[in-house]
Amino acid sequence: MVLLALIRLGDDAYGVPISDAIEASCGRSVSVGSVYITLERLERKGLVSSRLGEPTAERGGRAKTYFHPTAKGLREVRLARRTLMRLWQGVPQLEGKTI
Amino acid sequence: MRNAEPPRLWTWLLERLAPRHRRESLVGDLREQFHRGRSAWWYRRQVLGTILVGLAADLAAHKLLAARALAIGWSAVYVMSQFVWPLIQQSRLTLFSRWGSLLWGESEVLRRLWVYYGLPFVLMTCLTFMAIGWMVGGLHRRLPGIVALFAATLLIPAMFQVMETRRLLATELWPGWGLGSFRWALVFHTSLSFVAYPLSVLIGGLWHVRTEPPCLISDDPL
Repeated sequence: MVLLALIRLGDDAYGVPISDAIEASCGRSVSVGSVYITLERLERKGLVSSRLGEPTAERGGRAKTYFHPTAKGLREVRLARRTLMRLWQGVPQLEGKTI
Repeated sequence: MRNAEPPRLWTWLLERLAPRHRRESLVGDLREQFHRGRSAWWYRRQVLGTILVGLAADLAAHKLLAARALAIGWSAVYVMSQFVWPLIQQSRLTLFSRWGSLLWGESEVLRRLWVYYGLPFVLMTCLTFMAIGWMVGGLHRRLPGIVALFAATLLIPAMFQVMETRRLLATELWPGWGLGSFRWALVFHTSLSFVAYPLSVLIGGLWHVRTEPPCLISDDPL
């Protein structure tokens, strides 16, 4: 979910828009801390890369950390999508065929 | 955009207990969201969530360090409970029985603080807990969350201690309360065991944590 939000946001993906995007799609509040923990885990696996941005006054002089999916990350998302599509197919309960 | 500052105490905690690696960005993100109109309640919840999630991640990544911190902390508590606290308690009773009136003179307030509330003992206990927190924090500077974990483990024996309130009232350690003041004694004992002592550990432990100052920025484009 975090990786998909990153891909959707493109170059402007840092903590605030990422958690906003997840919140908008899930419809419930997301902890920014848990988003960062997930991003760090993805970075350790080489699925995401990060760079430090410029500090701004609005943030009290604190820099943003921008995140980008790596080529390996994009491959993993495609693979996960294909796997999910295969799993979704042929489940009668989800196709309205149950009595 | 809102001009008010986010709750200071919570920012202070975040700057010390948030995951070290992304601390600056996390503090900035939450501050930015607050200025965009999120409530103080939302901010507090986010800070608490961030600290807890970071603590869980730290513990999962450094299980041995966490075990070492707890072992050191609890060994220190054991040493204190066996040697230092009985000494303080004994001196309090000696002073109370022999030289009490010399100490507080005619002051009823001082007498009550000494006899009913054992204030010197409470202060000394807070100081020793602070020293233990300081030691645990100093040995684990890179993982300040471990101090919070140690402080949290103090709540387990605190539950048993609070259950002992009725028995304590009958001992000479709490001479002035009497069994009739059980409710107040319970409130007093609970606030010490659940708030004052764990908080002392936390304050002592966070003494070591240095926060990086934010980058200096200027609104003037030149």
